[in-house]
Amino acid sequence: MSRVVVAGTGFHPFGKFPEKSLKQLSSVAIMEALREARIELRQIEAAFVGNAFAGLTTGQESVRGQVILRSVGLDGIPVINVENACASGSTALHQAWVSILAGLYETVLVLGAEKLFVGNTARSIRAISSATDVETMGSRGLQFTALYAMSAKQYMKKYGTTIEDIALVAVKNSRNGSLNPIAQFRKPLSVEQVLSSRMISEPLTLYMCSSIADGAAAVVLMSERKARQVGITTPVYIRGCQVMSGIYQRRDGDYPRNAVTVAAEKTYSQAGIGPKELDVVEVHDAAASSEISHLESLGLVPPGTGYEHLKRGRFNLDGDLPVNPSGGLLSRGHPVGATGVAQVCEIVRQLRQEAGERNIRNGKKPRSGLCLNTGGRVDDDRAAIVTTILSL
Amino acid sequence: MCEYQGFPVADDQLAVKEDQLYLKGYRCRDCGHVMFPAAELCLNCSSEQIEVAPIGREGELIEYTISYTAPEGFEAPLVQAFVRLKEGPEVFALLDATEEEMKETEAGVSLQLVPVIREGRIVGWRFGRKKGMGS
Repeated sequence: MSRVVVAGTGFHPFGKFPEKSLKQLSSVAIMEALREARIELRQIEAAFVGNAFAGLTTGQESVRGQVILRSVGLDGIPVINVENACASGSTALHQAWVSILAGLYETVLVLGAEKLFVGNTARSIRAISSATDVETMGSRGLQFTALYAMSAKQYMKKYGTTIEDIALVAVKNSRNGSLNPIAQFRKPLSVEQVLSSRMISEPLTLYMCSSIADGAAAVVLMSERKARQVGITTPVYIRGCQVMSGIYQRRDGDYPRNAVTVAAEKTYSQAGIGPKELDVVEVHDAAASSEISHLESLGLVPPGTGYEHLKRGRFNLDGDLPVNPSGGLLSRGHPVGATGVAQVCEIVRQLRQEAGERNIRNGKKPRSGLCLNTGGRVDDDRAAIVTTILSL
Repeated sequence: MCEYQGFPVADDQLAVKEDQLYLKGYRCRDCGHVMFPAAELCLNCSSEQIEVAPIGREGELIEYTISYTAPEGFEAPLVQAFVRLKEGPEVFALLDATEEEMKETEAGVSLQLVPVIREGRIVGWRFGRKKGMGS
């Protein structure tokens, strides 16, 4: 398989920017990614734009990518709009990667952007509910926090996990987020602060749930040849990337229940890099409890043991497997369509050891990392799962 | 449009048979697989021979949570749950119960389908504790 390099990464900070439009957020991220990739706007041959909710939050239902890119003067190229709920950004990345592997292009832009603070929280919440089967769930009172809360309760009963254990995920991610200049929340939290924050869906409190956000993240992908030509000094390669839907109501059938495990195993096999070879991971901690479930589904720790590893400090920046060094969705923030691209930006910067105060510091030079971005809900599973493995 | 206890039913997930309210399930004529919500082909054997089947009058609580925020059109605290219907399918459902009532409710408890009635019409459904089994 030919090799694809992440040549540039860029962000607009995540947070609450009521005065900024999707175009303004995006342009900052795009320009930073271009500078890092040492190219001009006109060298971009195609663009894949991930966004989940602009139609419902801003009214821009169609041609979101073209509208955003026009505002920075990028036109006359293929612009592909990608929507896959919270996994829109990583799905756009997957498509961009495929387009280079297919030999169609050598320099491709991936943008993930979202605008959720639009002066009408009810509208944004309604938009998020649309990441379900609206007929059977989204319009019938379902909330994502409730889904995470119910999973957490089942896990707690099965393994004897306490709510204090779950709070430790939020504590760790807030500590990492406090070191991240683009993070939405930069205040380190104590276990007591996490536990005493407002109850959202019992047992999950406010600080155990990701918030809505505005933000944008961008990457420039290049063929290996192109990356060498422009002089990328520390190329980080995409070694594998899988997009999958959930696996529905099949617990007694031929398919394993856990679609994240299926996606991960395919990615490990595609990349030739297994879970034991990963040095750093970013996973979809939409709720604190989901971080640990994901690590178990990914085969990084055995089922039911995640919180023991967490308490031993293995997932800290100085642990042997740092998890969500960016602060994760909980602290970096979750501007839905931008999240998957932001995860990749973080892993790339970690592998290049250019994450500043967040550089993992366990004495090992990181070589490989994984991102897990999940999105939406259909029936009894997620709507979209994207796993990406990157390495030097 | 059908009626239940004199109320017109305005939710296409509901059906009435012999004066009883049901969820509109779907059963495969070839393999017998029961589905809810609707599917266009049998999700087990891909047969196109699917018939409507009244199901879901009874179920068992798999898990629930009490949410202290609620989406538009709903009131917090809101009890959200997964329920395993007697006929097999696992469904997302709201529970017709207060915070106080949920304190004595555990996973595994038997539930029954209850209509949501607004302004003289049945506009939806929830699950509630089975009569005679509550505390």
